[in-house]
Amino acid sequence: MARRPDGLIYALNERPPLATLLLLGFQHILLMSSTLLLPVVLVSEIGGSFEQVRGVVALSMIACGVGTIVQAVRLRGFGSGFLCPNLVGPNFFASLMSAAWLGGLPLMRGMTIVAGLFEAVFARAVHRLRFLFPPEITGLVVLMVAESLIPLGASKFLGITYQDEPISGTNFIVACITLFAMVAVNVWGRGKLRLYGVLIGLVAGYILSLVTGLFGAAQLQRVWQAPWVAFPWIEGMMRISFRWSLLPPFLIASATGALKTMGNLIMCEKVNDADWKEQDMDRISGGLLADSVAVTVSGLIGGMASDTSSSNVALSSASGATSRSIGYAAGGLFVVLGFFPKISALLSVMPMPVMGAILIFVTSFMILSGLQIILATGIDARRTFIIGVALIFGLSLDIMPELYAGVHGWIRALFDSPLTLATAIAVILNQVLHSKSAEKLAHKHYAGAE
Amino acid sequence: MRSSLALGILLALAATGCETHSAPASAKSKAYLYEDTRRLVDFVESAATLVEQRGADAFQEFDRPDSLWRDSPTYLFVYDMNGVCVWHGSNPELVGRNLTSFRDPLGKPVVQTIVDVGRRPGSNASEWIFYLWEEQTDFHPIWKSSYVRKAIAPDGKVYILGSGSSRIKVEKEFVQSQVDAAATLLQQRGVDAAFNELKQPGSRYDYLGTFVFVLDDKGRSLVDPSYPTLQGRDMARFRDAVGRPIVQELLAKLQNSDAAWVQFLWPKPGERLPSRKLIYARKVNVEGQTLVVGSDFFLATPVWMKL
Repeated sequence: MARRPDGLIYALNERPPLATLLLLGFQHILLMSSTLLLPVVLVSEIGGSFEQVRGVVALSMIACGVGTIVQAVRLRGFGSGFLCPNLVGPNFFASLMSAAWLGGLPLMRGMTIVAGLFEAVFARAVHRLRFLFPPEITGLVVLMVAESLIPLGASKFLGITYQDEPISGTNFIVACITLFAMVAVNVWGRGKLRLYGVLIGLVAGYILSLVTGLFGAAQLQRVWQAPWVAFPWIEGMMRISFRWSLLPPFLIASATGALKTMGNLIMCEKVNDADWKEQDMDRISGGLLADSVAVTVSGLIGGMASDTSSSNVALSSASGATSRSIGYAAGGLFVVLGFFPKISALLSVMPMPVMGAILIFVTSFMILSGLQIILATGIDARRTFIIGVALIFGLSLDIMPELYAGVHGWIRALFDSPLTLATAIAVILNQVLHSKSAEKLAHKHYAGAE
Repeated sequence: MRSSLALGILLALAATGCETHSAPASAKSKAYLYEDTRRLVDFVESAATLVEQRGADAFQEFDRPDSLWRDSPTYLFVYDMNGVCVWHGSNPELVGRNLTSFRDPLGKPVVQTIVDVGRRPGSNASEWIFYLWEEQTDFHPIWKSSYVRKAIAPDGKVYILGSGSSRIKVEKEFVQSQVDAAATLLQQRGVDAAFNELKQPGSRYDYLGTFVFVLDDKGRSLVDPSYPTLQGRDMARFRDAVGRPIVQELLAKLQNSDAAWVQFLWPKPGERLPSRKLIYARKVNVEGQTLVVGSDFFLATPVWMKL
């Protein structure tokens, strides 16, 4: 039985008053919107029309909303019952781009459905894989998920989109003030004020961006052009195709997404239980199945593949509001907003410094949570090397990707993301260092020392 | 109080590393995709406006030690219509010298091309010029992109102002401008003369490591400066890194329009993973045949995106 952590204002099974619920749901929606830029980029890149961009954004919002709701549900073997919202998944972006180039939106949809079904298979098998994921490795997964948010967060914070661009002073100062507002509410805010840290920072950031011209006519024009109400639709919506050659990158993206979801759900468990010791694999299996439904629905209706959002989980921890009712509210609102293009356009043009500040704020929580999980079970020589070696090589993929340019064949798939590489190394090292022969050797060494 | 002070100090320290000292945004810079291109255009446009308002007196403003024209990652240069350098932000020794004979290692007449912009119609004519630049301490010359702008002083004297950088990313505007110029060349000078010009390494069509090519309406190569020994190869068979028949797609698009953009995937030199590349092409009817004039380039990738 989980023990309610003292710091929570609205715990998992508690329901905030309606007005508070809607405000907290809205706050989560703002974060869920932070990757709506991706479908805009993707459809624009393949030469899609303004209507197609709008259609894919709306359908992605509906899929993410559905995913958020089914994740908050706790049925036998389905759903985790946690507030663990979905957003458009950045880890699918590269594979989706290849599919969209190769076969347009029908191929993108077909491959997304396959990725969703693969995650469903993984979800059913995960409770048998418990031995692969002791707490220190799940902590590493959470840490590496946070690491994956750094490039987007840091570049938006500094106002840089392309290499060699100068740091934008105005962007940087607005981002600093926005971040400081969020941190100040979180550190010094009393009572229920802490619930709205991101919302307060965001309002401050939008006002400053308007005053300094970082959010101006160009962004508002896109909002202005969008209709108030429209039924989400894309041309050729009934066409779905498949290509074997794209299967490996999509399976890897799906596996990375499943690992990330696992990390997010572990963090949810930890945030909601003061006595948390290790993950509940049945619950994680149910959560992964709910996530696979969200991904499959994305493909079926024509949206971009969704994924659980680390930043939203961190927000629930930071604000002290982890009630699953907020998940229902945020998911429901996101689905409804999919039918209101003007509002979804406003959400998808979030100013750069505001997005950067939010990502830095929530990533800080993720990093510390990952470290806490790693350190919770105590550190010995084995864990030192398992985590240390996995971190070194995982991070090296981001710092020096050219080191791995010569890796070919099926093993190449492991080198597509630092999260996948670090997890694979940690899992293998854990098995090697905990094998019977290693145990015997350690015991002999220990006995000899005595 | 202590935290506010600390935040203030942090912001002040951090702001010193940022570029806050920049020229105001101009209408011309909005056409460009990348921030560093826009800043360079604004830098030159702002200087040109000053010359249009104050004539040669603007040079005193440029001379101020803390002026934007000196305290900037790029520097400003100003020529008169005779090719005499009248102001230079990096090398004052050049001031007063006629530099029209200056050519880059490929033989491009850089200063003459700059001065030619002053002869264009319109009081605010502008142009991008691409050339190889030799530094005293570099082993190899590097491509440099300079934005130059005509400015007419109140006394009627014409100046050409400009600034360049080797870090400017290839913009769609650059490619479109080169291809449009090549199409005009074909129509004005005919196939033989234009093909000779397009194949010259020192021509304006050899730029930023890419070039202008010409295909026939079936996709057969007619001008291909990077493969001079493989002239006549069938480019319609070309497929990109994920197997798309790019040239066939381009030809299909040109059936219904005079110009087309096609994006595809191809690895950058020395890299294994494919990057995004873009072709711009125009259909030109000349001497009874339909030709396809085009050029391609790698798109810059956002720093947060792995593709």
